Amino acid sequence: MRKVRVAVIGNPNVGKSTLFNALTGAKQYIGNWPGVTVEKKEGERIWRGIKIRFVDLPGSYGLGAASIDEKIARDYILLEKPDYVIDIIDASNLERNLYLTLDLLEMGVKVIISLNMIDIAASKGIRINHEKLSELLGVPVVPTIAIREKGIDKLCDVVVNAVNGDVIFKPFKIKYPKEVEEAIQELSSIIADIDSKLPSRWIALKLLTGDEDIKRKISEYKDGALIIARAEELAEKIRSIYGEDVEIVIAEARYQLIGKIVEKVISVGAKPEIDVSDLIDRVVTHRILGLPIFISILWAMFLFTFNVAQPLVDLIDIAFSQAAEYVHATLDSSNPMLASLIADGILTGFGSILVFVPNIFFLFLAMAFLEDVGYMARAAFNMDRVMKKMGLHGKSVIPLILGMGCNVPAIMSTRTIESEEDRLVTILINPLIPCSARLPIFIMLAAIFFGRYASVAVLSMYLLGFLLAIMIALMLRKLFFRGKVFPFVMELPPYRMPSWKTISIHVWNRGSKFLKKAGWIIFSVSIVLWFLAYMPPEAEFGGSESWLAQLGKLFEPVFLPLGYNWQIAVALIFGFLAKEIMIDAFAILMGDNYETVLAGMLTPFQAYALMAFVLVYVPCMATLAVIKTETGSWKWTIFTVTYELILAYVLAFFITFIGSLIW
Amino acid sequence: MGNEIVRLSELDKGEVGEIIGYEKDIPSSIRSKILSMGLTRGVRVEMIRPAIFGDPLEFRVRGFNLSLRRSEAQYVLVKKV
Repeated sequence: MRKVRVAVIGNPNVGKSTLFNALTGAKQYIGNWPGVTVEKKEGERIWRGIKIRFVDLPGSYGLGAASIDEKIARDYILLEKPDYVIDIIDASNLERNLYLTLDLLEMGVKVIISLNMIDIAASKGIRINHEKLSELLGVPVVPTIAIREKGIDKLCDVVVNAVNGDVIFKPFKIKYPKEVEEAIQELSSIIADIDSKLPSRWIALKLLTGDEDIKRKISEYKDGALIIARAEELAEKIRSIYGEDVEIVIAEARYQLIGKIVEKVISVGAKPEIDVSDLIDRVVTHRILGLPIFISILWAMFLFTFNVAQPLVDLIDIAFSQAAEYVHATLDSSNPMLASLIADGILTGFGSILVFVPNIFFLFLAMAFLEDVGYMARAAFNMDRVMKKMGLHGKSVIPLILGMGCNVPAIMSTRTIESEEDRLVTILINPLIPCSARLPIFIMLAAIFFGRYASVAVLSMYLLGFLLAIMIALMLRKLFFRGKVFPFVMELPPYRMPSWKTISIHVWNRGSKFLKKAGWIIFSVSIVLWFLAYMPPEAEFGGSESWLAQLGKLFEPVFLPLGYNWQIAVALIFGFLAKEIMIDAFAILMGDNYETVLAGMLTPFQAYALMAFVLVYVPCMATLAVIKTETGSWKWTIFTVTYELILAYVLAFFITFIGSLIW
Repeated sequence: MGNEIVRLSELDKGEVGEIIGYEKDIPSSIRSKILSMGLTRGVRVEMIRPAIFGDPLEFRVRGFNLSLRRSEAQYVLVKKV
């Protein structure tokens, strides 16, 4: 069967995911683009005897290298050379969308335009003569309504026709002012000499505008440096003639051409009286109402993610502990080691992964909904000022709040942050936000040591967590990401009713990927911990003779300055598995009256230091696994563990030290 | 006060400005981004509203809404219309 590869590109918010799903159906291959954590989606459709492989490129406003997304999109087209590129254009926003189209056409790729959301455009009184548009651009234009799967078959027909040679793609050239045109021609002829496969005219344009990434690519050729030097000379010359940078001259020429095209193809009828989006925005970004609405929406999302999903979480929890009990009951007499491996190792391991699943799916559902409706952009818009002061980005606010529920979905929610640096900082500080699993430990310790002030002590942990998160964020900015402030040039898309099909495919893809990737890490660590707690076989599971206890005793000297004995050390090791297990660990190690034992073991200051230590010391295994999969880097994962351990120790030591002066 | 030249960041809510140029020291990352979004000379930009804490600002340009921080909008010069 003949095969053809088609890349799908478009501005953000043009219904690209919906169109992609309509083209390929739910069966998609999800991976990552090499070297980065941006998701790569591929899917297939067999149409009229041809296997069409669709590749979803990240949303882009142009083929600059302004963001990672745009760089991925353009590198794919430039280096992987798909046979055709479907460019999705929002029919009600033709002007800005055509900028990307011109960039593609100048690159010389075979573009097929999907003129999407023509129904919404029509409701705004905008009609587009798509035949005229096709004629002016020299490429096929197919009107589509992706959400209702209209025009999809036609789009595939055009691909097949193109493969059969029945579609003409006319070469497209923008006429630039004289001096710019001369410079482009001079450069493109030298570029064609060094490599005839390059889109020489497009490369010439990028060199003139000083595109660093393209410069680097060209400098790898033998005479590359000479070409770059010449391009800089020519750019300087143009700057002196026009009094403006070449980039401005070129962008203006493009938008002038776009203006002419739009004039010829669009007829604007009567506009509706009320702009619904604007009405919603008046309320949502209202000076006084804005913040309460934001908090309410977050609160609703929080409840949905954690409370609505809770029965499912409990069900999974009960199912696994019942299964473990059953295994113990039936196998303990005949083969205790196998029983323990299955019950305390495998089942506990799987259980600890699966309990996250309902939360993750519910969170993604809520997130995808708010994102597709258009509220996320407003939340980022409203919170940007505050977040920026903390060295973060407007979009960092959602992960910070969600962290109070569970850091795992919170870290996964950073995916909406485009800037890699902002995203990384947001991920790395997230474990400092006290998740709900740390709350029972705070409550237990506070109840033992602080009596009627227990709630104040617990609350102070939350304040401390957020304070530390802000401090670390500012520090990371200073140390690693200095000066790289990502511009907040962001579209505020009109509010829209999202497509449930798109949302469910999206949620499924994300959720199942978490299970596959993070699942293995969590599972393996669980087995190792089980082994340490089990060995030697004659000792009580996790008891004072177990290897785990030996390990705790090994670490005892480290904790001595803080006043913690080996039992607390073991509990802290268990806490790595999942923070809430620490209470069970205390019970195993100190017996049922562990509260009294603890009361006699620590001073209130040492107990408070322990609370702070638990707050900070190390993310739980699941969080760590998700940090690894989301940053794609062991380096940052290890960095998180290291800084948190040091910070926790210093903090606990400081509190203990102050305490020893007063107590 | 018809043809007063101000920075884009100085437009008040509801005011419209026509872009006449850019500050010479505009960082190239900001320049590329705003150019690709269509903030070219001659285009009209309406300041819609500030965010709840006063920054960033929401503008309407070429039929869509765009958010810019004040620190970014200050590089764009407009003539009030």
